[in-house]
Order: sequence, then C-alpha cells, then structure tokens
Amino acid sequence: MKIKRGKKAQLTIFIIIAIVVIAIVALLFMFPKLRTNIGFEKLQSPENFIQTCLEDAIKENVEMISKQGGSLEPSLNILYRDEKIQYLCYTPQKYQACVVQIPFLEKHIEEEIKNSIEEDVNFCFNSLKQTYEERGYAANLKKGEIVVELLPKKILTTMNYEFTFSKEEGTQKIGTFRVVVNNNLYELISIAQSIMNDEILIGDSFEQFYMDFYTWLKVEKERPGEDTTIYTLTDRNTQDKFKFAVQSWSFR
Amino acid sequence: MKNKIIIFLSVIFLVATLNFISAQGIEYPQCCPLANNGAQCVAVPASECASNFAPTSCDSVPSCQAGVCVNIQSGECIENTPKIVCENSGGLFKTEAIHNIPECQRGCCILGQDTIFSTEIACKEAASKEGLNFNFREDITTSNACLGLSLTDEEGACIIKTDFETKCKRTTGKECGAEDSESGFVDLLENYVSGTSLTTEFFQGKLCTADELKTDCTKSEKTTCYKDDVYYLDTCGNRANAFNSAKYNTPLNSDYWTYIQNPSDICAPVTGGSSSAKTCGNCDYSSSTKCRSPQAEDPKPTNQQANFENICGDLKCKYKGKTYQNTESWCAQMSGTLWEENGPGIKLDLDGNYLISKDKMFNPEKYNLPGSEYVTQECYEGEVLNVQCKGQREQVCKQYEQQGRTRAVCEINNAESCTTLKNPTKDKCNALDDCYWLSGSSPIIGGNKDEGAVWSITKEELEKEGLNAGRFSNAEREQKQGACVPLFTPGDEFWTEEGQAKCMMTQDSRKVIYEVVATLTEEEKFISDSEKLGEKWSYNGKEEDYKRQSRCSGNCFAIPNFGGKTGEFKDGIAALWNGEKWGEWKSEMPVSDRRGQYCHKKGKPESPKSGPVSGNKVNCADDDDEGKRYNKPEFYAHSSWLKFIGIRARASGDCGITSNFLGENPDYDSEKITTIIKRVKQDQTSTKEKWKGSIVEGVLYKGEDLADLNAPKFNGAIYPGTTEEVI
Repeated sequence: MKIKRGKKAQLTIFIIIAIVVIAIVALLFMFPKLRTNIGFEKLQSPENFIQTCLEDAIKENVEMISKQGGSLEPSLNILYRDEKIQYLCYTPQKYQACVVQIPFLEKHIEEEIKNSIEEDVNFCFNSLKQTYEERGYAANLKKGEIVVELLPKKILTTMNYEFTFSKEEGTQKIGTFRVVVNNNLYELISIAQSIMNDEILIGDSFEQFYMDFYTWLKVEKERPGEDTTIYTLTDRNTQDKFKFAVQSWSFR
Repeated sequence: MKNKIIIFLSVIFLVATLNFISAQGIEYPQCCPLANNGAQCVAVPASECASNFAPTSCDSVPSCQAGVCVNIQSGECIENTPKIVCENSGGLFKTEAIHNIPECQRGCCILGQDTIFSTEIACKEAASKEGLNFNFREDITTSNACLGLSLTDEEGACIIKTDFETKCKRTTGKECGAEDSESGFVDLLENYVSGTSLTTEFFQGKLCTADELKTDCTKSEKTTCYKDDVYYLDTCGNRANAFNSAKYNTPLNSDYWTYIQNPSDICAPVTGGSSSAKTCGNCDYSSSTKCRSPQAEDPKPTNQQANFENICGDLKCKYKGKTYQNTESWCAQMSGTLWEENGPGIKLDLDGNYLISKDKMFNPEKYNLPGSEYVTQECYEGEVLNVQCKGQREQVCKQYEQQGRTRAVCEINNAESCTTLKNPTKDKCNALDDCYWLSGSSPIIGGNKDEGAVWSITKEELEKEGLNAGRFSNAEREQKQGACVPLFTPGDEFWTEEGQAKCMMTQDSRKVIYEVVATLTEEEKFISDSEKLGEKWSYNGKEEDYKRQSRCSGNCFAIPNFGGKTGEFKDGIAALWNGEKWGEWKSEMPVSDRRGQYCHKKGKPESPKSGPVSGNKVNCADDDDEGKRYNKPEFYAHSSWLKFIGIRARASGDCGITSNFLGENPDYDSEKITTIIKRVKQDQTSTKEKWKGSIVEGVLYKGEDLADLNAPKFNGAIYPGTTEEVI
C-alpha cells in the first residue's frame, strides 16, 4: 500500500510540475519581455540593440530610394511599371543636352535616407530605453543628430544620441551609435554620375564600357517611350541596385 | 514634225512624306525655373510653368544659367547644372569651363591599395570616410595611369609577433609597416593584451605558407575568388597562389607554396567551357571565364574542399543556337529592321566601313518600317541583356565584326545630315555613313534609267558651281541627278498633330519638262473633247475616254502617261533623247521625235525658248547657235518616276503608307502624292485662258494606290471624288 500511495504521490507531483512548466512556457510566449527580465534572454548591448532594430528599416528605405533614382518622393519623375523614377538630368527640348536636376547625388541620397529613417531611429531608441527600464535599469535618453554616410561597400548611419543606463553596479553612458549596412550604393551612384555626364555630352552612354571595366556591374537600359532612358545599375555580387531616369539630346 | 508646238509642263509633286525640313519641337525661346512637372530650368510653354516663366532662353535667365556646380566639401564638380539648382543643393556655382576651375582638376588619389581618379578634395573626403591616409598625385592626369598605380604595391607575407604568438597576413609592405595597421592586426591575434608590444616583419613576394617563415599557416584545399581568379586559401585564411590542383601536393618549400606567383605563370588561362577549369584557377574574363561557385553546367573542380568549391565558370551565352563569348554583343533580330531574320544587317569592320553595300541595305519598303526598333543583345556572364536603341530609329544597331567576334552599338541615325546636305551630289551623299544616293539608276528603282533631269538651279548657283547652264555631262548627271535620302528611314510621330504638321511640312517639288507631239487639229480636238466631257489630262488606261492623252495633242499633259503607263516606250524615248532614230515611233505615241529641249537666249539661261533638233544639234532658231538645251528628263518611264518619289518618300520618314513592322497597314490617307500641274508655255506662262497665270493642283494618287509601287493603281488624272484646284 505504501508503495501504491508513493506512486500516486509521485504522479501528482509530476503532473503539477508539468502544469507549472507549461504555464511558464505559455507566459514566456505571451509576454516576450519576460524572457529578458527573468534572464532567459541576455540583454543586448545598446549598440547591438540599435543595430538589430534599425538595420532592416535602413535596408528597406535604401532599397526604396535606390529604385526611385535616389529620392523617396521623386520630384521630377517618370512612372514606369508602377514605379516613380527620378530624373537626374532632364530636358523637354529636342537637340539639347539635359540639365542636371540633382547635382550632388551622394549628398542628396544621404539626406533622403536620413529623412526616411528618422521615425525608425526614434522608435528604436525609445524601445531601447524601455527595454532597459524593464530590466531594472534607470535609463535616460538624449536625442541628437543623425548622420548618414555612403561609404565604399557600406552605408554608415551615425546617431549622436546619448543613452545613459545605470543599476547598482554603476552607470554607463554611450554618446554615439553607429549602424552599418552593407550596400554598394556608393559605387553605383558614382557610376550613375558618370553615365549622367555621358548623357549630357552625347545623349547616350556606352553601357558595355562600364560593364567591361567594372566586371561586377550590370547596366540595363530601358527606353519606355518618348525620349527617356531608364538605367538600372546592379551589383552582380550583392544584387544591390540603383535605378534612375535621364532625358537628353533627343533628335526626334 | 508639222506641229512644232513645244509644251512645257511643270509638274510639281507634293509628296506629303518627305522629311526634308527638320521641325523643331519648340520654336520660340522660353525658360521656366520650375515647371509643373517639377523640372527645373527647362524650356516649356507658359501653361506648363509653375513660376516665373520667361520668354527667353534659359541662358538669359540669371537663375537658370547653366554652369559647373562645385561641392566644396566633397570636391564633386557637376557640369550643365542650372545656377538655382546648384545653389539650392549647397554648391558653389561657376560659369568657367570645368578645366579652368582649380577645385575641379583631377589627379590620382592613392588610398591604401586602391586608387581613385578624383579631385584633391574628393580624395581627402574619401580618405577621411574610409579612415585611410591618402596621397594625391596631381601629375597623373588620366584615369588609366591612375589605375595602373594601384597595382604597383607589391604584396608579401607580413609576420606579426607578440610575446605569446606569431601570425601571418598576406598584405602589402606598406600596410605591414604602417603604424595605423596595428589595430587591424590585433584582430588576428588570439591572445593579444592591449598595450603589449607587437612587431611586424615583411617578406616581400612570399606566401604565409612558405616553410622558411615557420608560421602556423599551411596549405588547405579551400579556395576563394579574387580578381576573377580562383585561389587557394591557407589555413589562416590568406590567399595563397592561384588554384592548380597538380601543384597542391608539392611540398611547402616548393616555389608554389613559397612565392607569390602571377596566375599566368601557374597555368594557362582557362577558356570558357574548357575542362582545364577542373584543375586551373587562372580564369580569363575575355575568354569567358571568371571565378564563381560551380553551376550545373560547369565541371567539378578537383582537389578542393566540397563546401568551398570555386571554379573558372563558363560565362559564354548560348542564344538561338549560337554561342557568344562573354562581353560579346550583337544586334537582335527585330522585325522590320535590317536585322530581321535573313536581313542583311548593318555590319562594319573595325575601321567603321560597311561590310554590306548600301544598295543592299537600302530598302525602305522592307526595312526600318514604322514601329520597328533596334535592340542590341549583350552576353554578360552567361546572361543575355537586351538594350533598346533609341526609339523611332533615332539610333540603329551597328555591328562591328572582327575575327568572328562581334560588338554591337546603338549609334545615332544621322538622317538629318542627308536632307540638309548642301548642293548634294552622289559622292558627297555616299560619304555620309547614314545616307544613300537615290537615283533612277539605283537598284531599287530599276537601274539604268537615269538619263538626265531638269535640275532647278539659279544662274548664280550655276556660276558658283561652274556648271554648264544648258547641259550636264554624263559625269555631272551621275553626280547631280538624284536625291540624298536617309539610309535608315527615321520615324515620325505621324499619329500626333505635331507629327502631321511635320509631315505636311516635309514637301518636295520637282519640275519635269517634256514635250509631246501635237498637230494643231489634234490639239483643238483634244481641248474640245476635254471641255465637252469635263475630262482633262486623260490617260491611256481604260476605256476610250482615257485615250486622249495618247493622242498627245498639243499642250496635253504627259503626266502620268509620261513615257507610257509602265514605261513601255522608254527605250524609244531614250533613243530619241540620244539623237537616235526610233523606228517604231508613231505620232500617236505620247512623245515627239524631237529631242526634248529648249534653248535660251544668249547669255540668258533664265530665258528659255524653243528650237528644233537637227541630228545631234539643236537649232534654236534666232539664237546664237550655241545649241544650249536643258537636260534630259530623269526618268523616261512614268513607273520609274513614280517609284522614285514613292521610295524617296518612304526613305524619309514614317509619314508614308509603308506597312508597319507587323505587316499592318496604317491609314492610307497618311500618304498621298498630289500633283500641281502647271500648263505653261515656254516662257512659263499659262497656255490656257482659264488658268492663265495660275497653278492648278489635283490629286493623282492617294493612299493604297501606292501600296505597291511596282503596280500603282491609277484612277484617272484627277483622283475620283477630288477636283483640281487653283492654288
């Protein structure tokens, strides 16, 4: 009998344990923040948190800007296959070289990316503060300047946001956050500028020359009608793209 | 001949298809700083301008003047930028030529192992961004020379030592010795303690696998891609030499694992599809190979780790049964172009000489049809890319060929140069790449029917050109009698109002002077019949009603029966014109046995008068016996004349009725040939009281009548439903 009672008790204990485990797992699923609060998940460093939080947003915005000729809302554009594509150089006249509409493309795109991610940056920093507070830190955030730089093979976003967080063990302060996104936009827009110069000069460009010289590059040229040429520059290795429109030297 | 009335008929044909006047899209200067569509400093009408429209060119509007925009921070210099656009972008606007602006002078910017051909400011900016030192060489003024510099820094093995460990990195001596490289090397060290000493030693030309260096790095079967070639990696992740499976098993003290070698010294270049790709990593981009992960069609490389396989992949393209080399391009087979299936194409040698005769390329009824466009196709790394040439044949695809390799380029179709050619001659026209000399002797017209033409020319022009006022030599005729037309018919927007207006503006007129025989009685009867029946200028085509033309009464009109309906009398006429006897000639034939000619008064070629022919001489009655006469007609046969103007019209643009590239016919009314028939005396005044001093126009052919220029449908001298009108 003793044995039987012992078995029953064991069974009951097992059932109780199972219920508790299931309940904990369910709670962790329902309230993800609990996972970090109770130490199941390691709290990311503020830098990593911001990189993780912003990376996709930057990539999405860069992709959007890249396929629209460098502008989030292209001012002078052609609608082609449901996409508005910015004219970088344009003239409605025949027998005329186009006039440049966006002279400093790199600077312009840096500004456009910056404007496009401002909301995301604020969201991510607020989330960072909240996450740290939920983990028992006293956190303080001071907003600062956002600088986007197109660099060879990458896009660097620097945020001069001051984030201070403290617990019993001490206080830490971070004044600068950097998010790096691998992207060849720097190289692509440099080639776009060269193509634009060709268009100003002769109303066309020798795409084969560029592809021979930069073996990683694919240049596609489409003529959607009228006198516009749409260029798509693609990095064959990374599949990064930059698309823009030009209208120059029409003889028709 | 009894009746020696000489009739001069000037027939002026308006062919509403010629492209001889280049219509400018915008006639008046205008400048809009900001257009409704967002464009800045462009010439658009006031209705499309959002602000400050100026009825002058943008060069005269200070804010829209174009110049060089300089970015003082980045060193960028952008030409043809309007002032307002430049300044709004934070640039410094300059009106000087770019080569006169010191900030815009480019040189070679050396950044680490790389070089950029840029301005000094841009060089500094790039160095700052990349955290590198820079060296700006303003003495290097070409991008090629600059590129060459990047290859001069020799690589070798850089040994990095601390008290606890020794590592090796393949790099340049400069980087190995550079003070700021230290931080980069720290990452290589597993047990580096910050602040402790770290030394580097450089072994130029050596590999980290070299036995003598006693490093931890040894050979591995892993490979990587570098500058298009396949390289072995050592166990430290450094590049060793280009992959050669046969050399893998050589000892570490062999040259292969000791010295950096040029890939071309390791194995012969791998060509696309070659089995040597399995064993050699010396890829050759120009022979269609490049390092990449093997694809299904590639052979499996030997002696490489399965997960890290790289190979000189075959970059050739297979397209429509043909194999093209990487970077090779060709013109696509496009309907209605010279590159349609079995078309002659536009092939050139590397010196730019056509490999196909212009006679074979010129056929506006078959090639360069409305809607057709040229496309180049290019093989790039196994992928065929299409690049459209500019529409409406503004560009055509020309294919340069050498040793079986082709290069296709969309080149501007310089059609306008043909029609704007001053004092055109056959030689001058044919010297232009995109032009064709169309004459009666052109194969497409029929050949060898060009026997002379009346060529409108002023006395001053005659003198200037040093020409004989009355006659052209055969050589002169060959040079002068014809038209310079585009070799590749350009397109027109004939479906728009602007296009229609352009078509209407593209007129051509041509005078044909000829004579026919007529007796006074016949003339009177003809005129009487004509007036009675209300028919004029009848044609020897259908019923009796149309036969008066062939009676050829005085002052009758030889057009369109000039030389017979289909030129059946052309040989006879030619004989007559050459002063020979035409045995079969009968008076009812629409020509006289006199040589068509007229004389002019001494020293007054502008004052023609008649005169009989005697043998090979012209008797100009009271003239000076100079025997001056105007030239022979360009065409003896009406058919060849009609074909000539039809072909010329179609060669000149899309205004005509030419079927489009799908074989569909557009609105036939888009092409019509109308005539202005001027019945004149020798002194160019009208012979008929009713039309005295007037020019009368009537439509002869219209639309589909001319679909087939070899068999035009003739509907009577005046097109049914139309009336002649005094113009």
